[in-house]
Amino acid sequence: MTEQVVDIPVKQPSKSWTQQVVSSLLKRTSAKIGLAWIGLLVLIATFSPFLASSHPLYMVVDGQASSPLLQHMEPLDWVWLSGFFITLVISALSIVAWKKILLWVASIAVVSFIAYSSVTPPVLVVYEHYREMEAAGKVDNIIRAPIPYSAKDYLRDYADTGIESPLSVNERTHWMGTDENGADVASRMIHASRIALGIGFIATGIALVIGTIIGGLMGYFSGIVDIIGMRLVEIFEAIPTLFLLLSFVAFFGRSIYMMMVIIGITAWSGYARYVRAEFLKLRQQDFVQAAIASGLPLRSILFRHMLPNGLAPLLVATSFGVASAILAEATLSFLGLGLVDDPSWGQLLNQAVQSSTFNWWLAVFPGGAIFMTVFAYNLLGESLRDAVDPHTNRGMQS
Amino acid sequence: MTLLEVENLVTELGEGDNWLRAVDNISLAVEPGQTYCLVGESGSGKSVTALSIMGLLPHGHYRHPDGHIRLTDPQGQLPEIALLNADDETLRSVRGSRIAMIFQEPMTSLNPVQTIGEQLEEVLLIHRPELEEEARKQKILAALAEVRIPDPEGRIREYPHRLSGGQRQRVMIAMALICEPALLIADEPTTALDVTVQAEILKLMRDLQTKYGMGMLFITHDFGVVAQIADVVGVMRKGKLVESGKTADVLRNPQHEYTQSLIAALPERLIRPDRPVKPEKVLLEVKDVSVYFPVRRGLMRRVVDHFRAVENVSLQVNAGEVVALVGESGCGKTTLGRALLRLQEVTSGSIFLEGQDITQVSAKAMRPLRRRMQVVFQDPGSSLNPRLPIHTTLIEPMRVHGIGSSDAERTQIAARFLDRVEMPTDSLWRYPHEFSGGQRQRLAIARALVLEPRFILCDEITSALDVSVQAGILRLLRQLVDEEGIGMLFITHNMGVVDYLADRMVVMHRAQLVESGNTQEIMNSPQNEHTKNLLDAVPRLDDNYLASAI
Repeated sequence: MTEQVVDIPVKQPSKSWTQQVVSSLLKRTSAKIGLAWIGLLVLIATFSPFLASSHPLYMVVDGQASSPLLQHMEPLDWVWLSGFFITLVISALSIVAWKKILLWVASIAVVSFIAYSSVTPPVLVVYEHYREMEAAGKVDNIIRAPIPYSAKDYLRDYADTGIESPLSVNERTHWMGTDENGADVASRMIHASRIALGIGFIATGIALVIGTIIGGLMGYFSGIVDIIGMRLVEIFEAIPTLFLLLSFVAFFGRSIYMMMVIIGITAWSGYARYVRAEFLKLRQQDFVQAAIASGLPLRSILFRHMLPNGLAPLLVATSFGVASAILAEATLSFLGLGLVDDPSWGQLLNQAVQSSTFNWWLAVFPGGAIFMTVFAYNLLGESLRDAVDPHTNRGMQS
Repeated sequence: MTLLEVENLVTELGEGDNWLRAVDNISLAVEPGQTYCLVGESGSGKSVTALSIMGLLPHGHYRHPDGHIRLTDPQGQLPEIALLNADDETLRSVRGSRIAMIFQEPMTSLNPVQTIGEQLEEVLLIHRPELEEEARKQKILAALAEVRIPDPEGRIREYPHRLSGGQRQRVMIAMALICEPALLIADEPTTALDVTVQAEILKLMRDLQTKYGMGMLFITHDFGVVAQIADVVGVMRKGKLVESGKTADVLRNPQHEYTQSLIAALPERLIRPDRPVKPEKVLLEVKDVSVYFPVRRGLMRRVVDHFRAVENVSLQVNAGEVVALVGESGCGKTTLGRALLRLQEVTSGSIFLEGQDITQVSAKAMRPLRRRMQVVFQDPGSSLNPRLPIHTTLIEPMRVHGIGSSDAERTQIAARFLDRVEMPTDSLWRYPHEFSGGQRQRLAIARALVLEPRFILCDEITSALDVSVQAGILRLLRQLVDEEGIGMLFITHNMGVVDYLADRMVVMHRAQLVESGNTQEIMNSPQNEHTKNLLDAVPRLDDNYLASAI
């Protein structure tokens, strides 16, 4: 063939499959509702110290300006905040998806390291003394958060506090009432949104990684690997997650991270099944066969040609998985085996039935939040399934 | 007296403000005892026409701005019915009893969880409620016997998966004809079948039509089928009927240029280029290759038997020649092709590529060798990775095999090969879903070519394509083989393609090679019984056939 120079045209924008799915997803009302609620939750979780805190945002005492809120910010608060902005920046970058993920994980790790080694908030936290100082007239100027109560502020300065229904006390404003310890329900719910989001994402993330690796190996190599893998899947499917959680809580105490890990390592079997089925199907597809026939290395065949094509059903399963992880934590907290002092929606729900009277605000608000979150993820999963399914897609176009 | 009259039919598909005119002002008439053949390439609106007549278009996604469809009874006993925009009740009473329909895919058109007898009985229960149980059974048995299903008594208790594709299509015909409809609509009923089975089904349909005197609207894309079955033919293009008339007239003397181009694009009518004389140099040699698949049973997955997919096959492919591998579906030709590329391990025998035995080479040592043998697959829908732009698909194998020193240079090479397969160079940045089937096959050929292979395996690469697109690809392949000296094994079941493309041909039947030799010699005087059957079954529209048959 003779050498010839061909003009290569400039790279023209052409919609990739991912862009198509995203745009078709955003056309659906149910997806919009689901994404809006999850987005709102993310915002609330990120900015929860600024939304609900007993520490004033800005305060001038004896002519000295200070920000008690910033001083009392925990390392975790800083990680959430910077994580939020890192995510925004990275998603705007135009690089390959796996590089984005890698960059994101790396920067979160760096930020966490810096935050935990440099930020040292005061160990002793006294919520009451701002209100005392204010009452004593020492404060010249003060800016408070919209809900001026921290999640763990039990209002000890008001002496005999306990369960109060919304807006029942004149001297304080509790939009959603207080719980049995006298803490503001709205504030506790805002701070609990982090647990709801975190447990969903981390537990599902762990399950996803394990499931994809094991399922992928089973699907690609099949044969004996598949037989052993499937037995492993069956063993893990036989473990009752809630029972395992209860036993671990009984033996090792209550830790949110332990819960995430346990939910993660028991929930992977479903994802492994999905990935296996997809890989078994994809292995016979012509483009995979052509990739083998071109002598491409196994790494490229698995990760470039097979995995991206098998992800669609996995994404759908993931959104349902997040919802069920949130429910698992809420169930545990409802049973009184959740976190001790830290706020959680399930624990608030539990308090609704604890005392002799039925405290509707402790049932309606946290229950509603759990319902809305699970519902939002299910809506999202449902729309995602339609968006990645070429048949329903075609049905919408024709 | 006309049986079915379609007048100025317009069908638009879509929703909201987004409508696509799929059928544009079509008029046709089907007489009793006559076959009207609608022929056209994919997307020309032939199936939509049939569905409009049956009222089977997706609810709320279609409209008819204009047109009339009238169904009359030639005996004059039943009322005349206007089918277009008729209500569901009317349509239901007409479907099955006065109009019946047969679909393309026999594998999915029968309900897999009901026996054949139950499915046939249901039709009778609905449309002939006056029949007693015994009478119904007799009628079902008669219908199955009529479509020549062996042992109808035993078959009525069986489920569809026990039947072959051809037998299922026979059952579908029995189901369509059991209420003795006046009109039968058949939408590509033989496209999914083997040529020999197709010939039998077409004969059966013709016989039944003569017997019952029903009218038939037959939809196909295959001019060979048209020549065999049609009395009147209508050629459709982009929703319009461009030409219609008596079959013999249209086929012998097409008036419209589109019909002319379609007939000229049939592989048996393509102009054959002169082939350069080449010294015979053996490129690929296959010696006594067998491929067995183990049949495993029981808890321990013990091997109890072997399924013999390919048995003792020997053949050779020279540089610069095309060898066609012909056979019915399930004869093992695709398995043999996969074995040649080491995509499937051979059970015994050896394969030599340029004198080197590749059957014993380890998977790792095989990788550099893969550059020399490439493959193009059948299905344009799955032959390219849908998540990667064409650029990546073409560049990646080059990078792995060290062709070109930088990505910029590889992009240049890729662009050159795109040019070679007659695709615009800006295809590089597009994704597979933006291309049509024929274009995707061209891209798949380009992917095979970028590695500059010595041998290319083409597995039915044109069988999913329209004739005019197929003609383009066949011309391109012949050019590549002649100019680059590539050796090619072309797997196909289309005799016209073999005739045009292949220098030599080998015929497979039930895992074995039954005949091999020069294409022209085998075409003119086949020695083996199976080869004869295969050749007889294929309707080929060459000059001899046109002059004598119709």
